[in-house]
Amino acid sequence: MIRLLLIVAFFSSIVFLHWWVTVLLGIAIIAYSRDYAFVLAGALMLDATYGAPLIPLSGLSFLYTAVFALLITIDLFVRNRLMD
Amino acid sequence: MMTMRSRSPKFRQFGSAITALLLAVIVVLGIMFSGALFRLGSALIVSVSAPASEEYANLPRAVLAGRLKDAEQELARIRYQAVLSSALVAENERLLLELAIREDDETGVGRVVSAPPKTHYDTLLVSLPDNHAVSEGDVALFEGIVIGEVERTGSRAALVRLLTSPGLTTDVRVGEPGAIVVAQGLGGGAYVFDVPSGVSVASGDAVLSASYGARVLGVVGSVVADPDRTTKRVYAHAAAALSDIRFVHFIRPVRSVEDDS
Repeated sequence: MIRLLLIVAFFSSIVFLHWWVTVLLGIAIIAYSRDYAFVLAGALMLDATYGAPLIPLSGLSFLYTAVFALLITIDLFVRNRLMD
Repeated sequence: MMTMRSRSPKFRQFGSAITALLLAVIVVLGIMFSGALFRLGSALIVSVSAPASEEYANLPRAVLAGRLKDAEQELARIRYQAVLSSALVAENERLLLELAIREDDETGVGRVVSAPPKTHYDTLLVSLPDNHAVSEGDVALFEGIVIGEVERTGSRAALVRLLTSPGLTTDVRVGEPGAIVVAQGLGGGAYVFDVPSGVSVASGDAVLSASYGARVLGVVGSVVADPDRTTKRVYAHAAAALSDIRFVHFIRPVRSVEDDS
C-alpha cells in the first residue's frame, strides 16, 4: 500500500509540485521499494516535459534522469557490496 | 562490517535503506548546489590571495598610462557602438515600414502552466489554444518584457526557455551612454554582465534588449566596481517575478517573418 502511494505521489509531484518534492519521493521509492523502473520513467517524464539544454552541463537536457540513474547505481552498490 | 553481518535481516534491510538514503541526499545536494559550492570556493581563493591593490602599487607609471589609454579606447568604442546602434534601429524601423512588415507579429497567447523554481531548467511550460501559430524561435513577452524564446512546441503546449537560463547569453543595452554588452543568465531570473567603468550604471536602471528591439529585459540590481579592473560587474534580475507570470504573448522575430515570405 505504501509502495503504491509513494509511486502515485511521485508521478503527481512531477506535474504539481516542486523539484525537491519529486527528488525526495524518488529517493524514498529507491530506498523503500526499489522500484527503479518507475523512478527512471518519472525522471524521463520530468525531463521530457520541462527539459531544455543546460549550458553549464554541456547541453545536457536530462538532468533528473541522470541524477536518478546515479542514485540507483549508488543504491545498488551500497546494498550489494557494502551491506550484504 | 562484522557488526552488521551479525544483526538480523530486518535490521540489515532497514540499515541499508537508511544508508542509501543518506548517500542519495548527499549526492543530490552536491549536484544541486555545485554552482554555489564552486562560487564559494572561488570567493575563498580570491579572499586569501594577495590584495589586488598591490598590483597597481608595483606597476610602473608607463604601464598604468597604457592601461588607462586602453580603457579610454574601450569606452570610445562603446560610445560609438551606442550611436551606431541607434542609427541601425532607426534604419531598421524605416525598412520595416517600407516593406510593410510589422515587427510585433503576434503569433499567440498562452497560459503559463509551470514556472521556475519548479525545476532547474528555467523554462516555462505554456498551454496554447488550438489555433495557435507559435513556432520554435518565437519570442515570449510578458506585458512587453522579453522573458524568453520558444524552445519547442506541440499541438497544445510550448516550452519557453527563459533568457536567464544558466549560461545562456544575450545582447543587452544598459547605462549611459548605452553600452551594448553580453549578459549571461545565472538561472532563477538573474543576469550578470560586465560594463566599462566609464559607463554610468546604477541600481534600478533598465536593462534593454539589443536583439529584440528596445524592449525591457530586466532591472539592474547591484553594481560591483573593482578598482583593479577597467570594467564593473553588474547583477540584474528579470523585470517581472517569474513565479507571478500567468499569461505570455508570443511574437515572431523579423527574420522569421522574412523567412516565411
